[in-house]
Amino acid sequence: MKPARVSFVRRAKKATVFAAFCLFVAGCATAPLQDLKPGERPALETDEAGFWMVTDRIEAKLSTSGRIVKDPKINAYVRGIICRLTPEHCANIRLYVVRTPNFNASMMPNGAMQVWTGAILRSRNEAQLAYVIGHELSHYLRRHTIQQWRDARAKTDALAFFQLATALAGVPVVGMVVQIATMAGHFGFTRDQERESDRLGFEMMVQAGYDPREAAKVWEALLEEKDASDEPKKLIFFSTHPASEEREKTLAKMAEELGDNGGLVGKDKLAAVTSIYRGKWLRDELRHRDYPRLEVVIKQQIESWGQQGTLHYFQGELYRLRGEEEDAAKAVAAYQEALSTNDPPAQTHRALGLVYWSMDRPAEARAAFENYLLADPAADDRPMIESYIQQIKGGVS
Amino acid sequence: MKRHLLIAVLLLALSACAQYSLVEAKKQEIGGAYTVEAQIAWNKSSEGKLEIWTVDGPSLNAVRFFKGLGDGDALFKIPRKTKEEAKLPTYRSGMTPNDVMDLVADSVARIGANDVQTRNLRPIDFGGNPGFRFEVTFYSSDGLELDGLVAGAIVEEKLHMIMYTGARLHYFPKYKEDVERLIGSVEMI
Amino acid sequence: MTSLAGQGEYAGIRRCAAGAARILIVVAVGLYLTACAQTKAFVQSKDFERPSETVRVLLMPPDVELYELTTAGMLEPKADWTESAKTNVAYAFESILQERQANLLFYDSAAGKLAFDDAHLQAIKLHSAVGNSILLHKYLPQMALPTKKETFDWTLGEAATALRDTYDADYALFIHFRESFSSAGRATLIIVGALLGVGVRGGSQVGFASLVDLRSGDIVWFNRLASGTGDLRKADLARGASEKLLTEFPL
Repeated sequence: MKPARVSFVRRAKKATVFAAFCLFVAGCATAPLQDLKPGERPALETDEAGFWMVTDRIEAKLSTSGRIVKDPKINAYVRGIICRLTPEHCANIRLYVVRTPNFNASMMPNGAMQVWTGAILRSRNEAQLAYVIGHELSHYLRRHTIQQWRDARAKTDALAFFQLATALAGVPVVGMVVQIATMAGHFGFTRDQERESDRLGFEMMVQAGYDPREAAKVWEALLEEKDASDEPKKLIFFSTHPASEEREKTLAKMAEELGDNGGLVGKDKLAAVTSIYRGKWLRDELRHRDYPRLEVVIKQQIESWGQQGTLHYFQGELYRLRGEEEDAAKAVAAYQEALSTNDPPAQTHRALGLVYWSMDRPAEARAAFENYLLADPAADDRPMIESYIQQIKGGVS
Repeated sequence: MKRHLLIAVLLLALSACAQYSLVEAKKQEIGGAYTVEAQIAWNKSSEGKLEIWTVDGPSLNAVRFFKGLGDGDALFKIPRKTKEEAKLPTYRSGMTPNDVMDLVADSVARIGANDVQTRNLRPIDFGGNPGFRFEVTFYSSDGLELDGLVAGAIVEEKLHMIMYTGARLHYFPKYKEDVERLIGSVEMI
Repeated sequence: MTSLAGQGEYAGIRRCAAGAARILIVVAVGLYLTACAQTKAFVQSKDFERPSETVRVLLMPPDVELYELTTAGMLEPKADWTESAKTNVAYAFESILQERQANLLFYDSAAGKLAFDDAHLQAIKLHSAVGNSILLHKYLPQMALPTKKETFDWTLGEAATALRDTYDADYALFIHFRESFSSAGRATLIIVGALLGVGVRGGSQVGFASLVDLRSGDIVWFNRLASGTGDLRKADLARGASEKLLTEFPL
């Protein structure tokens, strides 16, 4: 009799406390905000001004971090997209093209926008990049950061007293569960905010005269990459952006409703500015050693840009570095493919030499190293390559 | 109670950073792999298999001794794995000096350095073995310019390497000659 | 498309150090917080001789940020509080130094935080790396460097000349303050908690300062302040905190 009663009391307590918490939290959803007006700065005494202050400091650090791509041509190009999407706000937005592999872009509440080179690399035309930028602009214009902070503050404020109450009531378990649920909401923007930015970003790109069908294709390509990845859960982008399939479908449906609006796709326009960086940025992607994922990225690049020396060279690098069975042969094939184009990077010869050497084909290795030094007589690593040639000669004789 | 908790947290965090011990200016053995002749006194700590010497603190100047890395070994150990750091590039037997240079550049970039550039790869004698050396420059995640010097050799499929990094202003040049002498004094065990 | 959280990239090569430095601050706040402020200063040399004539001291842009502690203990940055704190701190330092026959020059950051010219930028970044090393290796006994047990000889070396050349100053003074205050909700929680026997942390004040000899580049003095009270928003209390932070100041 007694134990049953205790258990009942506990359950009753749990239920009451939980109901009280739900009431609490329901009461603390904060009022929605007006959109940011062009040139608007929050008043100094507001919480929003505090976030501008902190992000000003973060921005100052970012701008001098050594990660920023300074090339005026690419900056002018991306800025042009921002201004096309939002002519009235573009003067108040500071753009940072950040040299980082991976698909990402972000926006600080103070108007500092980061576009990662990994996102530019993966954009197959200007419309796709415009969608990504429009999405980020929406976070800024809708003031999502401060909205998110106010919601989080209200929720955790309630939680703090709630936890004292649960501690008193002797039911810490409920407190734990609620805490975890609330903390999860702290990280990044909420799903609702992401959905809103998807929709607004889409509307902005349509308004600016881009082809709406390109928006969903951004997700489509990323999903293919994610599915291939060794560690799909570890991709930063997807960890904060759940339900990508749903978003892809929503965007595709919205585009379908609009039909072909004759909008700009801008493939050549994008390529004219970014193609010279493709090799450098693909090299950055190799750092992650996530080979299946990079295989997809390179495949997508070849689909977009055709049989280019650089792309096949990196295909070869991928196989050579991975070094699984058959990979040496695959690497040789890719390098040879690169060499059959009219623009192979000089390093292709060196890479071919290295892979032949590892395959114990010294004569071909030596020839490839010699070709490398012919293709790039001023090569920075010339003394090392010459020493390889000497070693091979020594081994042969 | 709270104090105890804080102390526990502190100790936990510090357990990843070993304490420092004195390295006297004399012949020193690097983990049974090779010896070097130290010209000045250093402070030594270790991070897994990696031995680190510094004078003013590792972010200002540091000599990292890699000893006998084998197949599948990464250069650095990350105490707390974050999403983006699941996979550090690893050493593989059969690597050439060119591959090792890329391995160093990629590893340094993966743990937070920006705009990593390598140059001047060339053959040297490393403790009586055919070895290599090259230079590296990068920015710390805070944007401080750093210079680096790397020398090593692959002996019986194992990578032995000494990497010196320091702030380009003052701290790297200050001990560069001492490190050159360290590298010149390597004797394999 | 991540939020700000996505920017937390750390220098892994220095991760251990940076992590420990952050923890140092937490511990400084957690362990030393008493009603009175605590300081611990280091000087390069006990025999430091102050030049007899008036010296020119360049005050670098004070790195000051004030926060409100929400009920749940999150920190909300406060721009208006920070503004008044910066003004108060600059005024306090100017008047204290004047009393010590030192002219305070203000580093011109009016052009915008982003427009530091390169030579200064790297000198300032070097100073912050040096400052972190000092905090780590001088204030945390577990991280002490055996070769530096008896000495305090960190320097910016020739990097300091860029600052000296622009301002014709003898010394540069770097100041860092972080202060937090309990919100009304937090204050209530502290009281309720106290009644229930649960300790709830309130606001705090932490400061660091260093003096660089611009001729040699040497850090001639370094101090850390930790306190459970203080209010830089008020001129008199800002003056008090500044005096405290200047404990053992050699000029």
